Amino acid sequence: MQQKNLVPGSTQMLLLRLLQESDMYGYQMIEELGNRSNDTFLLKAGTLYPILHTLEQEGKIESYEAAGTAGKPRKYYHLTQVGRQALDVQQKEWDRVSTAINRVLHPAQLQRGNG
Amino acid sequence: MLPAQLEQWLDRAVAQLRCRAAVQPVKAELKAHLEDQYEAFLAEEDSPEQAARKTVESMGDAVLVGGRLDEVHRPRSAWGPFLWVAMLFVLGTALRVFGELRLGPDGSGEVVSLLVRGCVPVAVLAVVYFGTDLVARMRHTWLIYGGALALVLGTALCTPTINGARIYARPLCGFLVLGYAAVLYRQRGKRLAGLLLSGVAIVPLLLAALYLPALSQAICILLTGLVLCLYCGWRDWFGWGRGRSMGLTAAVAVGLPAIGCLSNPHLVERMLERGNPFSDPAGGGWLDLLRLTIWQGKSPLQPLTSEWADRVPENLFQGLTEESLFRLLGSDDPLTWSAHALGRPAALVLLGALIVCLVLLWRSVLRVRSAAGRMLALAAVAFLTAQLLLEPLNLSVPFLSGGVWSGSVQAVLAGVILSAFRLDPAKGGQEPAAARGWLHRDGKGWQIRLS
Repeated sequence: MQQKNLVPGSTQMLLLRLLQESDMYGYQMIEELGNRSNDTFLLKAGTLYPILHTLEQEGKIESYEAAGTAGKPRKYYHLTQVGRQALDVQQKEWDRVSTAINRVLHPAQLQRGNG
Repeated sequence: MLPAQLEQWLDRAVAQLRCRAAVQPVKAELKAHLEDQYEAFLAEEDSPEQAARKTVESMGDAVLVGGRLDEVHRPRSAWGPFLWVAMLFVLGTALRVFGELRLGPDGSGEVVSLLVRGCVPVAVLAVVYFGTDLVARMRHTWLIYGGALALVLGTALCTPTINGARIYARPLCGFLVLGYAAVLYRQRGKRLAGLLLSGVAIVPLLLAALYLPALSQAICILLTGLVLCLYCGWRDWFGWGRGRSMGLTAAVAVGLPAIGCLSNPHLVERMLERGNPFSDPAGGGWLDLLRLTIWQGKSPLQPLTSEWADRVPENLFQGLTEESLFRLLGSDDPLTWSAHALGRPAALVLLGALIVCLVLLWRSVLRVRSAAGRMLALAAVAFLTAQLLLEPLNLSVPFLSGGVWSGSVQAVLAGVILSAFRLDPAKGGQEPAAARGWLHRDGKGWQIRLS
């Protein structure tokens, strides 16, 4: 993933967000993340699966097998209640931090907005 | 059906998983991913070769990917290997207690003390083996490397110096090779730069050992580093070609000591002196002479009649009783003491058993599938073997020799080796008996396996 130092820990949040919309399997998540971010977030499989397996062990997601788009069996991941709560917390934290960063980077814009 | 290149990637990645219960599900998931990615590249009108190459690139390094998955799927510890090593410590304690009991009822106080001291390394082994898993922490390379170095130097500075030697820090040199293994683990695919960094990384470790000063430990570290680098070259770990990596390693290994010896004759002199028991009869040399005398079949409790008699200082064995002999040799040199107390055949049986144990250990280590585990275990086993080979007269026995301090350090090393054999015997269903490190039966009969 490009610029990974800029947003440490955000990959989890992005994956949880994808799973909030629908159940997905690993390859599908990489594709979806790349498409939505205009290829900014190009996640490697070697990065994705350890994160997914960690999330599964933490109970934030759960997996099940089902037929994929081409009819082949794929391991789908599903967001759990614990995962929804974790996503909520992470999103709020992200909003707080990004607002703070914007206040530092673009003070003039914010003043205009407030005015 | 995946192309061979992708199958190879898959096999290498799942080989890093020590938790056997996780292997099949992870393999199936990664295989599905490889298929999807490969087909996507084919659909973009890439040739099959191009598609396979790009798929492998998109997946990342197989060993590192597998290593990260191994961190997530940490296996639980098996009891079998732990009990085997704990038994060795118990055997060492039993030998010492037996020697103490031979000295008569006055030694009974020592027996209790010896039993307590014998328990400490077993407790350390249990804590390291069940409580930590260094193999799963190999990504924190510089923390492991720097931590080991800081531990040795910190102990050297904080403990008393005896006869100019920082003896409490000496046994800790075994940790330095673990740090070195962690550095090598991160040099995968870095070609010449990785190989050169591996060469440079050993220098601070050697300087630390020489600072103690512990010349024999420094040589052990050097030999261990050489074994690790040659092994990495042979497996083409650096991705620079097997021949080139091994050739450069061998050239440096031969060239640097040669330059060192030619430029500093004192170094050669010092090493020869270290190997000669007659050279330092007032210091450590006399103990070597004592060992040598016993192994030549001449008890130090009787007058010497050998060809060396005229070379031995007159008062060397004066006042030496069986009790003082046990005190001298019982804790550090159980083999030499056994040769004296039980006869050379018994000591040779012990020595033979030790060599068999080491050979089996080497065999098991080289069969470890996880690259991180194999690297760490290889470093620890090579270091123990170098110690044994370097001091043939000392006959220090790993896990049997030494006091509570060096025994505890050996227990940490043993715990690290065992962590490479960690397998999950219960998670996800029934495991094969071989995975538990116990006796198991196959078509060829009963066998003992660690992995």
